[in-house]
Amino acid sequence: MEFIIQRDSLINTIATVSKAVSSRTTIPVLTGIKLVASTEGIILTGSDSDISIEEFIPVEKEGEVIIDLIEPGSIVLPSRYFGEIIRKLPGDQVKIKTNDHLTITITAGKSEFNLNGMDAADYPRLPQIEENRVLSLPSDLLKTMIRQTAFAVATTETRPILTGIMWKLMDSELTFVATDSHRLTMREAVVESPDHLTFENVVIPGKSLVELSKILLDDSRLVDIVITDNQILVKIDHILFYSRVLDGTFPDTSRIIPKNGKTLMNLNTKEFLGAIERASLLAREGKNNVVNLVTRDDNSVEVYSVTPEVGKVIEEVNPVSLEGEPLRIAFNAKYMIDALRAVDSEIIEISFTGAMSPFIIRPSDYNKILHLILPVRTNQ
Amino acid sequence: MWEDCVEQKQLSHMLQQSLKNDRIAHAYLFAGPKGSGKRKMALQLAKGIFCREKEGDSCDQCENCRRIASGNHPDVHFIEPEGTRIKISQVRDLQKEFSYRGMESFHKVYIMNQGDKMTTEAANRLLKFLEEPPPGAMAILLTEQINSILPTILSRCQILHFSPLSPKHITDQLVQMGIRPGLARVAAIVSAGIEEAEAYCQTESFAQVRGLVIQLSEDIVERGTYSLITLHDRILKRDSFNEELNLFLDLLLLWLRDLLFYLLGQESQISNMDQMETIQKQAKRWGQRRLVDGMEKIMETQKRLSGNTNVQLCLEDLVLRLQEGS
Repeated sequence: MEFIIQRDSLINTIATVSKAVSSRTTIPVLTGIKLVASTEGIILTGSDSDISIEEFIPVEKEGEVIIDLIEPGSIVLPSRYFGEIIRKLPGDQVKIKTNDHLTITITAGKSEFNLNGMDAADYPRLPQIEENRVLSLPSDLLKTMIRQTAFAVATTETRPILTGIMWKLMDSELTFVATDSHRLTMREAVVESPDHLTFENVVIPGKSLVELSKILLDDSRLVDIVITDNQILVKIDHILFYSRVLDGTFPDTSRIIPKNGKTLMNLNTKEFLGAIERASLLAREGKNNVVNLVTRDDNSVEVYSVTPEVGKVIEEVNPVSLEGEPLRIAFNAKYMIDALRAVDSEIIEISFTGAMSPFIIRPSDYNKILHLILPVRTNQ
Repeated sequence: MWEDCVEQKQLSHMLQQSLKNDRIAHAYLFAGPKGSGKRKMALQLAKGIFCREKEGDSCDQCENCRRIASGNHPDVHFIEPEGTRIKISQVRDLQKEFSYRGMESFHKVYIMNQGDKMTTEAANRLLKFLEEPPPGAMAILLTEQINSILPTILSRCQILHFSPLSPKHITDQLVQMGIRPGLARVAAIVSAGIEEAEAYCQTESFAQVRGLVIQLSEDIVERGTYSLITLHDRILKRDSFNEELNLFLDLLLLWLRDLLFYLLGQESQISNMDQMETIQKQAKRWGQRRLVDGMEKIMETQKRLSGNTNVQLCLEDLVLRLQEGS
């Protein structure tokens, strides 16, 4: 393998793929970055076995020659040293050349490095892409969907399957569901996909998706997603992002969503969020962040929280509309705050089914998002 | 390949058959002394599962076989003690890893070396995982001390006992590697397994300690109390004697046994075969009775030293007792 490359583009690519490289790994070859050179360009791969990021640098981009390719080949280089060396080298161009016995020589300007590498044959194989199982959606939509669901995944490992977000595709509608068994978030979106393509119970670790959203751009360029048996692949321009899939069955959440609300209210999101945040200032000290919500006879809503050792807070909120049975309910303020922050609409609609049943929060103008929160049982 | 597991022919045949008939257990415990081929067999079993070329066997050529051998296969995990113990966090990481689907295939294997080094918490955490393994997962625990493993773990594994290698087998292998037969045979007897024996043969100190043992034995019968000075000046002053202590006593015991074999006319049993002349010379001076008593004393000393005793006093005592017979 031998090539000369523009240093800038190599630095950027190393920065992208090394996001996936972890120093804490039991598999020695994963401490490295894989380099594969072919006549079209070079591919860099980083992986911690949970996620893998692959980026392609073409020989020529927008008329500018990036790589002067001399000879194809492959090697795995220790990511820490390789990244640091390329960053610190002088000049605009770097020459990389493999010698015998898995070592390479990096030359730039007057400086020359010899670095020991590992055999690229030892590197894990990433799944092959099947072109007929591709679904596409805009980058910014995917990013929003992740932001609106990832906060609800379980943080404890007691039920590993709940640390992931469940993906489902039916009739070209992609659904994300995340739950930690106290609250649930669901986000739907229409995507481009072939008619025959449906899947469900594909559970992707929340952590991987948070990493993915760091790479996703804030524009409406389409990204392609491919689901395979063991991994999913997200294709963003020249970057391929792979994540392993969690093993197991995600709980069936369709039945726990109540159909008919007994108390319905529409609230101004910002105002209500402010009230809950203030009420949780005192509640935070107590267990469960408990905040209470009571409907009054004069069609207003009272939010209050009492922690005997600290004090109490009462705040009146005027809903846009309120109908149905009177209600007294308590819930974890943190869950409510998370849900309200994830909703981008001005007005939200909350539908309660009694003090002991879960309640639903949705944007009033948009039915693609649903948050469900379980109430807290109190002695009052 | 399974044929390469020459250390444990029976077990390798058994595992090969279960792989062929798709009757592999979800958890194995390989118990046996150091050097009895546990790790090799565990790797072989993993290769047998993942190999692309041969069904139920390994080709040792394909990328899967090579990556398993180099520890780089993403679906084969190795757990070694961190420091002295296997900690609960390692088991937790393992469980987390196994909540994911395999990286490349449906199968996942973990090999835990020195399973007896698990802390109680780690072992208890592993229990449920052993009992209800995720689909496609297989556990292989290796241990040299099956007695220190919790009974609850034992009852969840299929236990395979690895018998120690016969010294003759080790000697043959060492001789094939080009080591002198005399040295090879002694090393094979005092070591546990082929690797240790090979290491012995390649270090200088092993030959030195053996020389000192023969010297000391000669001094005890020829020069009386002078042997105490030999002990002090040439043996106890050695820089690394603390590590060599057990080896020293084992070699001394073996030497006396050889002398006894000579007196009994069973020369074919003698291990230090390259020292026949010295054996002839010393054996008569020692006498049968004294040799038998002497060996008993050495074993007694070994037992004492395994407790918290003063090394110098113990060895001086031993040398004096060995002289008493004359």
